[in-house]
Amino acid sequence: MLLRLLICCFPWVPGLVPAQQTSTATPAAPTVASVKQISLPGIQPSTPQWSPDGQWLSFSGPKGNGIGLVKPDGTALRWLTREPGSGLRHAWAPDSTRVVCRARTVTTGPRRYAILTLSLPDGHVESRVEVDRSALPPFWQHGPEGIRWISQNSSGTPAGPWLPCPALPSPEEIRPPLLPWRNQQLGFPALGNDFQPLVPGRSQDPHWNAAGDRVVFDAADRIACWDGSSPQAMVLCPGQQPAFSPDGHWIAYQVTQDHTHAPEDPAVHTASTLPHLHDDRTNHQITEADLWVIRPDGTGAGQLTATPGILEVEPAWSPDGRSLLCRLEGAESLTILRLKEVSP
Amino acid sequence: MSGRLLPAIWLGLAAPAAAQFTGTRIMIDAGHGGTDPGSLGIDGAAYPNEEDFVLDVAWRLQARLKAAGAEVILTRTSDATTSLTTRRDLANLEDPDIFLSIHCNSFTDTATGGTETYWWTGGEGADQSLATLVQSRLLESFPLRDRGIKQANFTVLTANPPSALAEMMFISNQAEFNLMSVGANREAESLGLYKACADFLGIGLTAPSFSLQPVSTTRSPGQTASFTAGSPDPGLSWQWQRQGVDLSDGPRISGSASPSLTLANVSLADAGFYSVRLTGGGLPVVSREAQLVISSPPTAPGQGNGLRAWYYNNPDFSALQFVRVDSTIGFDWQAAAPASPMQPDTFSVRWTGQVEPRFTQPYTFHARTSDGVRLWLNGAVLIDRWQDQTPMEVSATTPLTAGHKVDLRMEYYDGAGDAVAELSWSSASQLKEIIPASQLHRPPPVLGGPEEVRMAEGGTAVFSASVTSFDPLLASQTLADFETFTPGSSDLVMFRRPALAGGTLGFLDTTQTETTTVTSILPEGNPSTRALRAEWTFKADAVNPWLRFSTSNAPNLGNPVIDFRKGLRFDIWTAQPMRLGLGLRETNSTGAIGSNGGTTGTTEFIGVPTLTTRPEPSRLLSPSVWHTVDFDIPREPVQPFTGNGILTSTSGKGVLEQLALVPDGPPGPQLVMVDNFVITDPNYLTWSLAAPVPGVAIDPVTGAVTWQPAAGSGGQPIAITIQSTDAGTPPLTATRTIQLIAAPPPEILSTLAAGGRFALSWRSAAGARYRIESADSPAGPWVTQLPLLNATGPQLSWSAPIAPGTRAFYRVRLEFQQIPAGR
Repeated sequence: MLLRLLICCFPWVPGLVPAQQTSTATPAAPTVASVKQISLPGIQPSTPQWSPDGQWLSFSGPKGNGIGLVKPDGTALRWLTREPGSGLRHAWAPDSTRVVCRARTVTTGPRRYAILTLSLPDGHVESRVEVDRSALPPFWQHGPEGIRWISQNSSGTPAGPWLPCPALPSPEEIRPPLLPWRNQQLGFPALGNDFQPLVPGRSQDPHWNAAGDRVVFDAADRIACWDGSSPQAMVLCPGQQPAFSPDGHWIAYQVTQDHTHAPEDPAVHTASTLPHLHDDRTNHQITEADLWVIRPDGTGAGQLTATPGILEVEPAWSPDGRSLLCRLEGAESLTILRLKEVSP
Repeated sequence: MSGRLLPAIWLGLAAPAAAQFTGTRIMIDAGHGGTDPGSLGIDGAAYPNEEDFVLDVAWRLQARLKAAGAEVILTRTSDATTSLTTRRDLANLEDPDIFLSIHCNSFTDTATGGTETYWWTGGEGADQSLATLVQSRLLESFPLRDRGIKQANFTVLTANPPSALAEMMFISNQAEFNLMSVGANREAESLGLYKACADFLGIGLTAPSFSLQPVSTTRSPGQTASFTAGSPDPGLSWQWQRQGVDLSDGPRISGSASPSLTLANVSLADAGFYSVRLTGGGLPVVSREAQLVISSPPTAPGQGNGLRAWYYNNPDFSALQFVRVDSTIGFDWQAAAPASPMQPDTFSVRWTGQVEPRFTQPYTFHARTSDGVRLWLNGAVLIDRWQDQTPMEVSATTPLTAGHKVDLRMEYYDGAGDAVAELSWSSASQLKEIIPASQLHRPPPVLGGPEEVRMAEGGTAVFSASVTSFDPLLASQTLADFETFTPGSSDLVMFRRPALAGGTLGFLDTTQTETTTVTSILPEGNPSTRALRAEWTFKADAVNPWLRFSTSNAPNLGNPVIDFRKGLRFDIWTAQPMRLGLGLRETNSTGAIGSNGGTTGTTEFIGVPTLTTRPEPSRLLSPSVWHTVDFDIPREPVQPFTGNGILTSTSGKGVLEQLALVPDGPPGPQLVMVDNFVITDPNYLTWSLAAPVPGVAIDPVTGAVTWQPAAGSGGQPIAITIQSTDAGTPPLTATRTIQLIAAPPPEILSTLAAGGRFALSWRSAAGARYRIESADSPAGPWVTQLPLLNATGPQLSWSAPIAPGTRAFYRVRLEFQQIPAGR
């Protein structure tokens, strides 16, 4: 299907926190200088990403089906693949020539998966590896031999072959390490069968810094960061979907509000109704979502957006660290926040 | 807060070998929790609310799915706050085969109710399919109002897996809140969701089978009891339950998770119903219940012989067909009628009487019916399930005392299909059984009336006990209800046209409409579908007109034989005021009730106290309403028509020859409808004194007590016990004890005229009332000085101002009145 593309650019959006309001004595947190929306008619995207070379924006199609591509200027919208379930946590190779993803091989009934390596720009399937249903979405590792995709399942770590990647300097060790994930908990890497969670309670959505030595994750609606220096990760603040900036100095994340059970308007209550009862149709939706940044040590928290009724979620840094890509809950678009200042 | 709703009766089940959900992953999202209670219950209490109900259902569903081999992930497992985005992210990450969000609904209008299921507005066919299956299976669990499947932009529904959000019921609705408050109902909801998951995943659910069912047993306290069940299916989990609650092994209990359960050193507390739940790869299945009875010494067995039963041809207790004594309520009529001439469907029955327990224990009453049933004990509703249903048992428990009879009333209706009505009982020492006849009694007479009667010595008091309740009919048999005759059939059934009325023809204006016809058009108040309608006109100049509405030689049901020793009941509607009597022909018939008794014999008027140029019946029918009239034939006043004024029959039977219809308004057009003729066996009471008391007599028929306290008898109360015995078999007797207090004449103790006042005092009787009267001379006239005075002790005083130089006479009178009941 040929998708039409509409581009809307806004130099400034009222409600976004202006730079001058967040200046402090310490180096300032990044602030929003301008906003650009990229319209995706008929598509409610999710989990948007930026290709490492900055040439492409990618996103998951509705219900995780398919990986869409669009240029940061809003042109060249296309589907890299329409494989069911492939959009969730698809991963760009460091040289931006490939995307690896986990796709469903059956559409109804119990899941079965394959790891697909897709080449740009046409989505050619370079490799297809069947994995069992316990396999997590793959990501890329790099090491002395190049790069490879790797996944985790209940019995091991299926991985693809090492591929040359001249654009990357060869590190001395494989990065990032694997974080075991069991029973909705992230655990310490490389502890064998002795699973030890990074934090008590549920944890998910890990995101490593570029150096591969520090990871940030969602710990039951809180942002937590672990650098390997202590047995416990540090909980920084409330939030979800954290992402390290390319230089590792900032973490962008979302803060959402929901479950509003504000008292009903007394006017809607009559003699036949009771004041403590409410209309459940007002329920079940996010009522507010904004983006924030914070340093990995828990300092310098700053609110990037303060836009009532506009729900920014799932931030992703641009490779140059000067912009944040996100989506608006329920919108058929992607949003690029151009940052005014990013300082360590 | 959450927690108290969590009996977790499904926890600990091992996954069976043949689990049908193996390889599947299902995520259950219990809505809300933590700082968000969700919708509040209609009672406004802090607990339980939506967060509690849905977590409990989620746990139950989790247990079911795990037992069937599924991998189950809960978005929350406790009363914890979890954001919608985290729930969605988790669903995306785990990528389950099904994401099911469980909720309860709410609205400001408490009347709103029902079930609805949502899928995402941007969703796919799989989401819609899941929502459809969830909605269907939830409605199967509870047939609430179907609000349909709907689309919405709810956050969790945007998750990648096939997703649905179920709003099970409205906890802002009292009835649905009550439903959700019952653990068994939440279990049923979880089963519905379980089935929906199976449907969606294409899993055909099967239930394991039993090859051996547990059987009831009786044990004495301290003995060991055991129950055993068996199944040919492999790889099953066993879980014994008592009264639906899972058992676990302990000091006295063993084998709770095996085919054989053993209870050592049993006591009354162990009594109850035991069953075992088998869980295999598909649906769980529960065995039949076996009762553990702990023997106790019983009271003496009851002497009853059953309950009074009233059978009606309509489901709303109209169109009485017959009355009888049913020894038990244990009927499975299937597709047949309870008895001729009732119809096989849409009938109703009311049983009344008393039940007599054998043990002092909580008793559980089990009503198994198809269709609706209501059960009252001692006037309080114990069971109320007034709806169409396949045979279903509803139980309720109440404490009872051995040998103490309590009033019982059970109402039942049959709609369409098979008819079943059974009433059983059970207790710790009572094996579940249809309540036997020995413990069931007809409704006894109950007496009310005065507790005390006071009368002055030398006076006469006439009083009686009142009959509070009574078993009015000992039996009945339908004579005619016209239901099988075609409307419009003229001059055909039971009664002839008014013109064929012998000597009363001369009163009629035969130029006007004059018919007798079966009709299906009935005035309100009679739910029958047929009745007999007669129409005629009395001449304007007729003197003392009346109509002999005769059965003589009617083609169908003509000259019907009735029993002169019983009663006749029927429904009648008149357009004008009318008085009503009967004419009975003394045929000495020996045929069956309703057969043609012929026209040979003389006729007497019944229910007719006086005779002028026409019969003058005492029963007055107000116009335009249906009346049910009863003639107790042996006790009705009799006047001669062609006979001698004495109703006789060598066989006890004779013929209903006519209705004597006497206008109580102006002549002119008349319209009468009759229906539902029933031969009744009316009950009656015979009165007596339990022991003779001087000066007291009782009329055995009316129960009127006459008491004449003799002079000098006052002072000490006398207790009399009135007995009233009905005519049933066995006869039932009621008694009432009444205190008789005679008051002596007032005796003046002192008088005093001083200081402008006149005072007097006299000897009084406590509770008696006195009247002061004054007059200018002893000859009167006497004037009452109000108020009347009530004595509370042995002496009473009174005073009034008097003017100087005047003369007056005063007297004290004892009021001759009895003290009413409930003083």
